[in-house]
Amino acid sequence: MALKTSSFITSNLFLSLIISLQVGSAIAQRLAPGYGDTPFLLPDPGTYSLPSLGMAGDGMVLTDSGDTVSLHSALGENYALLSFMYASCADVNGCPLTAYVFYQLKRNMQVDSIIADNLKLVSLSFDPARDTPNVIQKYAANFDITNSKGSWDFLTSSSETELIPILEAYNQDVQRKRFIDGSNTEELIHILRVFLIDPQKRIRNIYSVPYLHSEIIYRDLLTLLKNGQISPEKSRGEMFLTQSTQLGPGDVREGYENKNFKSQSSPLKEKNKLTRPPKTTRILSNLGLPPYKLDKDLKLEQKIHLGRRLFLDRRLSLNNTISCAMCHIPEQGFTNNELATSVGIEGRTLDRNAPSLYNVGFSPKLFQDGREDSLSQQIWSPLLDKNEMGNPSVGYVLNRIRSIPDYPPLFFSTFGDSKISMETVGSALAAYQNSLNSGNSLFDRWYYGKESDTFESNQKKGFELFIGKAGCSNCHVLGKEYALFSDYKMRNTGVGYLRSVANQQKKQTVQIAPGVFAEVDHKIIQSVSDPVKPDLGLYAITQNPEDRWKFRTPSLRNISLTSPYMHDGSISTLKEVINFYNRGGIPNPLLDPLIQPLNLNQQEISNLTSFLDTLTGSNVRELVAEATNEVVGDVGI
Amino acid sequence: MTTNRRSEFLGKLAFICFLVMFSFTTAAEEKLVDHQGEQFSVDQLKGKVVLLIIGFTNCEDICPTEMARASIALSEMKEELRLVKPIFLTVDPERDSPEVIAKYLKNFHPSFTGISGDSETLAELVNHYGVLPKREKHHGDNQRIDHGFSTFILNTLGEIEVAVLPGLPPSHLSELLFKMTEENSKIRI
Ligand code: HEC
Ligand code: HEC
Repeated sequence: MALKTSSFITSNLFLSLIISLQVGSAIAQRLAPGYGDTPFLLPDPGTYSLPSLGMAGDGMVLTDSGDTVSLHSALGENYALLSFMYASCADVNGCPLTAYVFYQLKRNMQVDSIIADNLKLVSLSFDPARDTPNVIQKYAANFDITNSKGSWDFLTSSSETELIPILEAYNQDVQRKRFIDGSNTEELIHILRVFLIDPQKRIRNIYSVPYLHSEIIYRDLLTLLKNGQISPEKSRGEMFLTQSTQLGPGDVREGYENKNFKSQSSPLKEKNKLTRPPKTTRILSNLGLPPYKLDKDLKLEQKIHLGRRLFLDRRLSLNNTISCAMCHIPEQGFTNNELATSVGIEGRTLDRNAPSLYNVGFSPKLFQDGREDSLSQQIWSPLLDKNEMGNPSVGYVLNRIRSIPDYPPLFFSTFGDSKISMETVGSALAAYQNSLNSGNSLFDRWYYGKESDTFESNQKKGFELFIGKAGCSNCHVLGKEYALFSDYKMRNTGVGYLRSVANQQKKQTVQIAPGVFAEVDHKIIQSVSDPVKPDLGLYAITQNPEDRWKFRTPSLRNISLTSPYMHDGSISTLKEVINFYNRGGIPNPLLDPLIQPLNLNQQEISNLTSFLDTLTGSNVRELVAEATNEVVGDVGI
Repeated sequence: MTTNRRSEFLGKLAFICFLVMFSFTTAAEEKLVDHQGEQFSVDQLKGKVVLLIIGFTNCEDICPTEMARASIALSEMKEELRLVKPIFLTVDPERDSPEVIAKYLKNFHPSFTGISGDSETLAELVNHYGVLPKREKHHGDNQRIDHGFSTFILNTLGEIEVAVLPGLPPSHLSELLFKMTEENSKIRI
């Protein structure tokens, strides 16, 4: 039942060309899955449901012959796939991706009448000034003489005044990137979204970059066409919806714990027993942190509260077992102290350690390979990843949230008329994660607060080493006014390299500089039992060989609460981390030049460790209590 | 002007210029040179299907992608290639001398002709037709580059027939070129 993908050697060649041409340029990035094979195993058409996500917006548009019509009438009487486009967009994973995916569907319209007869492709321009009807006619002309079966219509508008309400109706506002203090940068971003709209003009699915793939769209179309022909029990989404009412309390650990792993973290049920009303004022401890300018947001507290509930709620995963908080466990430093790498739905192991979420709002790059930069976008990655929370679609998650009686009133009081949507869910979860700021540590009070009596001499000595002999602050940087202890750059310390060679041989000679060789010993990771998959870090995104084994420098705030360490959780104590640096990391051909053997003695190692222990924020107890005291409804409700 | 602003400006300029330049109505053509340093006249394009790519050699992202796409498409073509004239038109004549363009074109399909001209001519053209490039909104240095749209197919009369969206694969481009050469030869008969 697969869609035919037009794959010829040349288009693959083309893609590899794009990759190789991008190498070395600032915009190098991973090509979206839409350019290649399907990113994961897709459910069969008709085995899941695509509930309505609300009505599709309308407004007046211009056709390529210059006629003014309503967008709804331009979408036609059948299913329509609507995209918004800039013909001049330079981001490969932006408009060109949409064009590529639409083209795959158009190709298939030539041979498959189901798509040709039931689906219309529609692209509306973002740029009425440049894309006049005359110009969009030239886009449409791509299919006048080739691949002319089926329709792909291009639309524009008479002016921005006509266009803006339409963009708003589809949440296609052009946004600005932000500096870490919350103020706006000049950089504009537009979030790629493609909408599948049914004949009644309801939105049935929304595709973002990782999910914009012709095969996914094809299966969704077949699913919608089949609707009504199959019994509801067969629908995967609905099956879980009905099952959930029989599952009982929401702390089922099935698939989360396994024979090697039992959690020490308290189950939800026990947390809920301790229920007290959530605190109304959060304790902010900002000393030592960057200024954080939040928008004047009167509803901020409500957003944080709502976000926290979502964060803790297992019903946001496909089988009601996994919440965000089960991998980013509040009482375990918002990471998981018990597991090197996370375990997701049905016990599937991930390749990486869950990063602590303390101060995550200050991080300009998210994930350990820096691939995301927006907290409100990032959430869809765990929610939809089949190894993490396993949900089949955005619509499924949204519908799930709508179906839980506690949420609609909360969303209403927080966001007013705005629906439960990708944006509001993203905004609430981002608000909560942005509230996990934690500074005012012992160190901050001494260094930035000038309190002299609290800092002990071994801690001071440790700090001297940190910024001096040990060179830690070259990467884990401190500023004059504040410190996040990270440059947020992508660096190779050798941890990733070690993983790659670990399975090969005990000792290996590597050239670390022209003519300089070193022998690498693998003893250090013998504690890591299972054979491990290599993780190439930044390389996976840029495909630039120079970027192999580079990972983002993490912040060191609250570091004593967030073991195990490194992207793969391969080091379990701070002392071992310092030993690791003392040896000069793991020599490899691409080792960061700032990593050198340090010749620290035992006393110095101990002082440095004492210093790292002073970085714990003064409000961690409150942040944990807020989370553990939150009332989260049970699955059975 | 930062590179990004510059490329945006140039891109927009390009869009307007080529509309003008290829309408066979201006005197500007006298000031055009090809990548071998010879004077270039748009007459040389008459009777051919023109694959026109507008860009500049310093442009890092979309231009090489567009050039690569076109090169692959051209290499998929057979004898009908002789009815096609691929053109790379720079909008950055200050930096893109014929030599620079010649070097740049070595990376791509050999049938490309690179064209440069003097920047005043470009500016004059814009003024002459009373069209000013759209003022950019306040973008900073880091903004995503908003290029002028860069790949077009012109029919044998020098009119734009198709604007080829970025993202459509090379096979589509070669199919289009093939169909256009077919249609145009029909017309001539
Ligand atoms: C199955 C375990 C798991 C679940 C469930 C999970 N995460 Fe994560 N999270 C991870 C791992 C592992 C990473 C690191 C991934 C990487 O770097 O590629 C991560 C990374 C992140 C990051 C980036 C942090 C940083 O420092 O860059 C954020 C933010 C985040 N998760 C928030 C969430 C939210 C919100 C949810 C719930 C919607 C969630 N996570 C659910 C395991 C999980
Ligand atoms: C070349 C830059 C660089 C220098 C110098 C450096 N680090 Fe790091 N540090 C990193 C990077 C990159 C990582 C993440 C590595 C990974 O995840 O594989 C890291 C990870 C860590 C971690 C683990 C954090 C976590 O949450 O997993 C600690 C602790 C740490 N460094 C402490 C230090 C100390 C102490 C020093 C000085 C002895 C130091 N670092 C020097 C770049 C650096």
